[in-house]
Order: sequence, then C-alpha cells, then structure tokens
Amino acid sequence: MKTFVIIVTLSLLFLSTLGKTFAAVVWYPLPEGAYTFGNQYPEAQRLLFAFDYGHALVYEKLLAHRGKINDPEKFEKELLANILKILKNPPQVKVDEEDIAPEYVFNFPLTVNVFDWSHMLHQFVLDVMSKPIDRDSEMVTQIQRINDQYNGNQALRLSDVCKTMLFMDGHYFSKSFRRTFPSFNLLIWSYHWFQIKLYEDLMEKDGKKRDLLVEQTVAAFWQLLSDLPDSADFDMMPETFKVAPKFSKQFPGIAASFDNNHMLHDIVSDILTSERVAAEKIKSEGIRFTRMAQAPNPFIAVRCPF
Amino acid sequence: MTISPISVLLFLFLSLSLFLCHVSAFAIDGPVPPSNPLYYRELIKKVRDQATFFADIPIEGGFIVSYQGIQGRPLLEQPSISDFYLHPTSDHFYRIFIDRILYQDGSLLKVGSMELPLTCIFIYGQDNRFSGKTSPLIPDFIFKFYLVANDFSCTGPINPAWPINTVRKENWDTYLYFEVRDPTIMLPVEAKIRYRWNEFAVFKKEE
Repeated sequence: MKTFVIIVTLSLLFLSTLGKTFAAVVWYPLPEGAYTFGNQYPEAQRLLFAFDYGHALVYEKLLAHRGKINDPEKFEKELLANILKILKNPPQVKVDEEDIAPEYVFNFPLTVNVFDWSHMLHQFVLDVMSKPIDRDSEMVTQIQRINDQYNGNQALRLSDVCKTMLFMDGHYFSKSFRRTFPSFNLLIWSYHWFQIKLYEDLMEKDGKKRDLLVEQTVAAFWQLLSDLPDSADFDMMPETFKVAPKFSKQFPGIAASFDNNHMLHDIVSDILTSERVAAEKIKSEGIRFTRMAQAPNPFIAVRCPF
Repeated sequence: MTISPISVLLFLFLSLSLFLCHVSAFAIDGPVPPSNPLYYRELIKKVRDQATFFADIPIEGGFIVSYQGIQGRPLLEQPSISDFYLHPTSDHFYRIFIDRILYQDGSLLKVGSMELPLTCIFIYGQDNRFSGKTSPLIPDFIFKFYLVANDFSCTGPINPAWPINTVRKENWDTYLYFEVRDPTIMLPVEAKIRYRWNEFAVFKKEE
C-alpha cells in the first residue's frame, strides 16, 4: 500500500512538471476531435499517413546510400516504385518514424521533433475543418486555440513569419535533391500541394460542396503522379498563399508556418543529397537550418503575400 | 441543573478553537524546510560542465564517453518539489525535487566516435536533511542526473501520452546517467550510458 501511494504521488509529481514545461513533442491531452478528419475523408487521411511514411523512407534511403549512388536515375526509379506502392496501399495508422527510419530520426533529432510538432498542427487543423461547424466563428476559434497551443511550445514551434524562397534555395547545398532526383522532388511537391489544397477545400461553407472539392483534390493528386516528371508541372515548391488563398487570408500565421515546414523538408533532402555537405556535418547542419526555420528573422520576407 | 444555550455555544466555540489549534500545530510542527525551490536549482547548476567516463567494452568504436555543455533555459519556472512524510504522525520527511534545464546549442555528448547534441538535463533529486536521519553515512542530498541527447523538447523519462496515444513508454533513446551525493565536488558516480536503447556501465576517471 505504501509503495502504491509513493508511486501514485511520484507520478503526479512527474505530471505536474510536464504540464509546466510547454516543450513536449507530445500533444497531451489531444484536442477534442483529434484524428477525426479520417472519419469524414478516409482516402485523404490515408494519403497523409502515406506521405509521412514516404518522407521518412526517402530520407532513410538517402542516408543509407549516401556517397554510394552511382546511378541516380536507377535509384530514383526504384525508390519511386516503392513509394508508389505505399501510396496506392496507404497505411490505416500513423506510422512512428522511428520504426521505419531510425537512422534519419537519430541524425536529425531537432528537425524530427519540430516536424512532429508541426505535423500535429497540420492534422488537428484538418480535424477541425472537417467538422460540420460554422466556418465563420466556431471553426476560426477552434483553430486559433490549437494554433495558440502550438505556438506555446517555444522549443519546437516553427516561425509563423513569412520567409523568402532563399531560405530554401540560398545555401551551398541547395537544389541538389531536385537536380539529382527531379521526379522524386516533384512527388514531394505534389504532397505539399495536396496538403495545402485540402485547407482551401475545407474553407468551403457548404458541406456537400466541401466533400466534392476534397474528392476532386484527391483525383488531381493522382493526376499529378500519373506520369512523373511531366505530369506535375511545378516550377517551384507550391506555396500556401497561391494554392490556398482563402485559408492564408484567414490564418496567415499558420500558412507561413506550413510553408516554413515544407521548405525545411526540402532543405533536409538537399543536405542528404549534396556532396558538399560532409558526412560529419549532417547532424550540425540539420540543427542549424532547423533553428533558422524556427527563428523569425533569417530570410524574412519584406512583404508577406497574405 | 440546567445548561443555558449560551454555555452550549461557548463550549462548541472552544472545542472548535482547540481543534483548529491542534490541526495548525500539527501542520507547522517540525523542522522548517527551505521555502524557495530555486535553492535546489542553484545546487543543480553546479553540475560539472564537462566530464569523461570510460566503458569496459567499446561503444561506437571507442571506450570513452564524455560530455561538455552549457546550461540554457530552464523549462520549469522553478523545480517541482514534493515532501514525503515517513509516517502520517511523523514530523520527518524527505523531499523529492525535479527540474528540467535545456542545454545551449553546441553542447555535445560524445560516445566513442559519435558526437551527439546534448539537449537537456533532467534531475530527480532527494533532500534527506529533514528525514530525521541520525547516521552520518546517509548523504544530505542524492541527485540523479540524466544528460539527454537528441531530445530538444526534454520530454521524459516517461512519455506523458503513454499508453493513451503512444506505444512507446520511455522517451529517451540516448542519455548519460549518473548520481551525485556530494554537491561540494559534484563527482558523478553510479554512471551508465544509454546509447540507442542499449545500456552500458561507465565509470568516472578524475581528470
């Protein structure tokens, strides 16, 4: 009995400290209605789970084969074939990245922490937007509450200030991934397009029209992938203000934060691909550029488009 | 003999006063602990900012495990404390304190040839000074330090969402653990390294 009391008290003490930290990568307790987007839009939700899988897998492969890829075209073809299999048969659950990409997770600890936190924001915003609630006040209030929780975590939040594309493309290793693996890069940009297009669809006030728009976006995503690289006609990474103007106007901070997330994904791809980044520098460069994505000042846009 | 209502009221008032005095006396009886939890943080800050340990078997191609770091922002406003009375009627208690402090970027944990970002320090400490101990063999303090790599959020040792929305109970795959029982020289003892979930005993060698 005495032991039980001590264990319970210690657990409460631990929990009391966690509540005050505001630095956890664990969103606990989960917001009401978390992970319910999939109830309304199962196909879109499973694709989002598959994207996480696909991102982690490509990073793991790039890390494992770093400096040993003699035929990039062949490597890209094989990787694309593997990822397309996953996209066509996407997971029903959110796979833990550590279970499928342990080297990547180990080598990019801050980046993974920051992505995890940001992906939860993505997910919970979609969860709210999939509900049949009033678009003008109730939805805005709920999303704002989630965004406040997200921003409360100073250790892991991404900047919600607009950055220029130079943040993604202005470094000694930049564009390496897209030059070496152009089709795969377009696949990743198609992921990004799909994610932000969903927000725009869900801004629609009429429920039936909303469902139809999501359906059309899923179909358009498959069209983008139908004949890579020709089928995805992106000259640049899709930006939220262009793909989701209504959403960006309503939630400018979240839109900027998503773009910073997407740019950071591309930066990681470039760090892993570029021969200019020495193997022993990968970890420190991962941390350095993630800190840049978190800080408001580096590469700040003079004028935010939204 | 008749008892007047005023006497009854007076009796009840006195009884209540005596009861409250007793409760109050029970609550403040005994040695008074330091009221400011930041006292513990000042002690924690004295942990060595670098140290080298040796392993019996090679880990990541080497026998040496070391760290060097500069403490940064505390994640708690002040350490959390909790007092454990040894018996419900005892005045004696020992105090548990917990704190989490981030390390500044550039801090490192080196395991063999592998360099990892040292991200935070988690402290689980015990203050024995009010426990009524009479033996000089029991230290005043026991500090259990976890120097954690790769977790910039410092969420652990137990994942707070477990088992509701995660299957992973423990959060830290890599940390250096040691105890300190004398805050004057802060010599680490009982050390071990957890490296990617594998644990190895290490020992401190004085530089």
